[in-house]
Amino acid sequence: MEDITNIFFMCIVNALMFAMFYVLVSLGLTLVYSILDIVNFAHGEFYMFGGFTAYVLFSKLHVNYFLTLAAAFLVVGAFGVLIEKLIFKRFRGMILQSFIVSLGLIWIFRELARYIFGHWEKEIPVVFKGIITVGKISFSVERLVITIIGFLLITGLFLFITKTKHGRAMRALAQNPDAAALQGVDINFISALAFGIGCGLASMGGVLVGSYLFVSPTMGAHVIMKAFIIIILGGLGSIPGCLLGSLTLGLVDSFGCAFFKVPLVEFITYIVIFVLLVVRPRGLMGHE
Amino acid sequence: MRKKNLLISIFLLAIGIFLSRESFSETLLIGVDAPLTGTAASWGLGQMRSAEMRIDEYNAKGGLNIKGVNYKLELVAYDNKAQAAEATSVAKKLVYEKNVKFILGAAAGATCRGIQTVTGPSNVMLTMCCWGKELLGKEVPLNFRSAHTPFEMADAFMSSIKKTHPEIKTIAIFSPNDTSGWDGGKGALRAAEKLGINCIAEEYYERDVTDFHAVLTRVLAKKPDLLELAASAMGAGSIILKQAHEMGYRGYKSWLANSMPYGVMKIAGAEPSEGLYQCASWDYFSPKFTLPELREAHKKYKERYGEEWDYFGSGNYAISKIVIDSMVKAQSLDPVVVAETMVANQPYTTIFGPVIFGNASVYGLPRALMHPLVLSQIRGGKIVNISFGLHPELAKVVGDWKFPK
Amino acid sequence: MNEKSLPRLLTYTGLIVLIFFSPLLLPGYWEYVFSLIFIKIILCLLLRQMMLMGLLNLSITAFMGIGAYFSAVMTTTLGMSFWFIMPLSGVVCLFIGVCLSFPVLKLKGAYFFIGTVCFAVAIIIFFSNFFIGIFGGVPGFTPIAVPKIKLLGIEIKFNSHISHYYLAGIFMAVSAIIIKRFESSRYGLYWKAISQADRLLETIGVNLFKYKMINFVISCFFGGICGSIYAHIIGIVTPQDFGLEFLFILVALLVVGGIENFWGPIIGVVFVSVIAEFLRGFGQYELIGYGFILVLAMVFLPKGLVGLMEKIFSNYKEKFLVKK
Repeated sequence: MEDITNIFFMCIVNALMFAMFYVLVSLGLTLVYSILDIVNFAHGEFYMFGGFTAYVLFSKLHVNYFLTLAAAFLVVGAFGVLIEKLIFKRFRGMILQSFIVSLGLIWIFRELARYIFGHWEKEIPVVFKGIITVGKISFSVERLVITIIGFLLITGLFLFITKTKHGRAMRALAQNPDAAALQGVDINFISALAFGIGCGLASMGGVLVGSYLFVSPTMGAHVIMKAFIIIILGGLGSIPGCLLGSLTLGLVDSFGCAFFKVPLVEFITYIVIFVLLVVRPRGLMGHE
Repeated sequence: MRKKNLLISIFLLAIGIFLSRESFSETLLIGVDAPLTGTAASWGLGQMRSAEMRIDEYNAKGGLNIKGVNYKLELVAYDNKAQAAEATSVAKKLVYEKNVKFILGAAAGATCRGIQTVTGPSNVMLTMCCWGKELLGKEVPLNFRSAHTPFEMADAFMSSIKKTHPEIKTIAIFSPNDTSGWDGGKGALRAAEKLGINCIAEEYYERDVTDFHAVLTRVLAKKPDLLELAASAMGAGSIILKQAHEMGYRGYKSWLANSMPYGVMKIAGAEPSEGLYQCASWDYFSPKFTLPELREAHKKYKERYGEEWDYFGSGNYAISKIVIDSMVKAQSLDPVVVAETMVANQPYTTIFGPVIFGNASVYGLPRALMHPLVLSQIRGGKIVNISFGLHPELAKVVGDWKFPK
Repeated sequence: MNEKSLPRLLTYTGLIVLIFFSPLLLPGYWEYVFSLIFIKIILCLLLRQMMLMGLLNLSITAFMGIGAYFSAVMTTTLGMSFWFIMPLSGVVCLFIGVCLSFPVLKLKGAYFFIGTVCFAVAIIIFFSNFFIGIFGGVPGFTPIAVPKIKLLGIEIKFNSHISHYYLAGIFMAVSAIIIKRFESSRYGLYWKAISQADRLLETIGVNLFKYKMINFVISCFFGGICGSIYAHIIGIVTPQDFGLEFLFILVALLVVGGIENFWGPIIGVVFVSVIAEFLRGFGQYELIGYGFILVLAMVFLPKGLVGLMEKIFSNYKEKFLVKK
């Protein structure tokens, strides 16, 4: 009986941490999709750039870890703003065209990263060393830190969106661009800012996850599809929805793998998402 | 007037020299059909670059002379993006549009099955590192494999580990859920069962999974003695080691088919990777159990391409020399004749040491490259080459061959 | 004959003659390339047909996969005739499509997109891991039986590039005509109306679900037959071949060609596929070249190639008319 309780709690812990990992990637994505009304499939590549920023700054140049996090946010965020102004600006509201353009960008970014850094997976030294054991359950300090930072980021973004002027402007833009413009919102500025913040958040995810896993040019590919599924399942534009979607995925994965083999769990995951979508066609927290 | 005539004559002479040079030199195209982008590029690029290095070596020496005609070698490498349909299309382009007769470089199991639907009927030679029993044999006599698969190395690998640690009774196998992954997993399973080790978990994971905690929760609860990573990619396998260690696993670890040793300690960490046994990865730069030629080749690759070479790529480098030398020996560019010559003139001395094409008992024809197997272990954050062994078929031919001290 | 139909008739006849006699000029490999182009044209036309309703149907490659596996297994393992199994693949996919349409057509926009993606990925996982003895699993199913036909006592085997070319070409011509007829008919009108004002249609008593389902089921049917022919042309079927990568490329081909015009997918597929063949020469840099082409095409030709051609023709017409 004790064994089952242990496994149960381990699954809960796993689910939570799995969810936080995906929150880091998908938080920026829901922001971009809801505010700019574009599909940026290359979002995973900004996550990847964040990872490589950490590789260059932290692994190779031994810059302080928290400075690296901030630098990744700023550098990749600024790069995101540039991409928005150069490319995505003309596709605002055009779902298909933005999707295709982002596909092209994916290949360009990925191959560029491979050309510069090579294709082998790169490591980032562990900063938060140690393993915590609570009863029979053990997990690394790293994962705990990622979970905590994930929560901090969600809270931070939520406060930004609800309390600050720019945040409110973003919500206005998400609801009705024309009305927002009438209210004096500078659409170009707010769009670029939202995109930059979205990319910056993704890159921070890349830095954190880089030391926990590894950094490679294709690391964005592994997460982008699930990230999209999470934000749509959770309800577009909803930050709590993003969390809920990640948790759903985490719970299915975690409890599933405790009993079934991985391919079956993957199959079940997609069926579960499909069923949830059909039952709640506007997403778990979406508004009708 | 005289000046004009002089200029015209010089011009005509130059053209004449140019043309006559061309007529003495023809081009022999060497094809590569491998994943050059994406996650599988780690192996595909190794294949392509090894062919490229070889071709440049032969061209630097003046090319090949076959039946009085001088041939310059040229590489034609296309990206098949690790998909079978694309690999088939690329193979058709190589065979039907470019008239390539030798494809020296292919990786990623399912793609090779597609490639051989084209090369088989057209009598095109294919050298590959792809795993899969049906990729060699009587139906595809011109297919050669350039590196070890579980059929050649799993038994020796598992028995060395069991001999050193006879207390190992149970094994848990983690391998990717694709062709090579299945082969690796099944190979490790076969070898373990032959030694009486009971397999308590055989887990195949999708290649893009990075969070193994959930699976490890289930598997580690059964308390395996040995954690075997089969055909896991360098990154994923290292993550499994790291996460298993995090969850309290302190048992023995082995990795049958990792092809890039140098990143494991860095990604997994020194402690989680401590004691890891490998046999397709060993320290290619260490003087222990390696030939100077191997170290040279790895150094050359690193200087030219700026990153490390995987095991399978170096295998392709070894086999392409055998293929091209056989062309010269047989004085023929007919793949069937070259294949016969290759099989007839073994053993060969390569960067790995003596090699033969063997294992006909598994495939039906002797087409699998077999070389001295080096066992390595990670000790104190470094790879140490511990010992080497010869497959029984290889031992029969080269007997008591040893690495030079 | 009125002034519109003569040039149109000439265009269609010209195209048919071109397609029929091209193999005389094309080298063997290019016949193969065009046979794949023909199949991609159908898939893109089907994608566009669903887009008339404002829905991005990403399950189309999944149905192609179902059709491919069904056809491969039935003809090779069970030895049945390709000519019987090929339309049957379409019918099987049609039935699965009918069942799927009940839950999936409730979804709209991004939710429909993800719903169909979930189905597509689930199908790939299914073929990779279940019934491996029948389908072959991740390594795939090969070899695949060669279609045979007996004409005037002679047995013709469809295992050459030229036979594949005509097989795919004839199928493409027939399907394209059918798809065009649907679009020009009452159904096409309803589909376009659904994308613009579905609530309004409901208020006047139109059964939206029926029209959506007919559209969806048509794509399933033709998608299944595409898969069947594809399997026999390529000679190997693996689950990854029908995955998201192929799907996204089809969407890219469609958008680069132009969504608004019926000829968009056709021009897009032909143009980009031919360029892609030349890009192959770049080896490991092929993909980055492809990426640049996509980005540049979207930035400079947001309405697709068809949009560009329309602009050129209208300029030409203007100049011509002005001159007159």
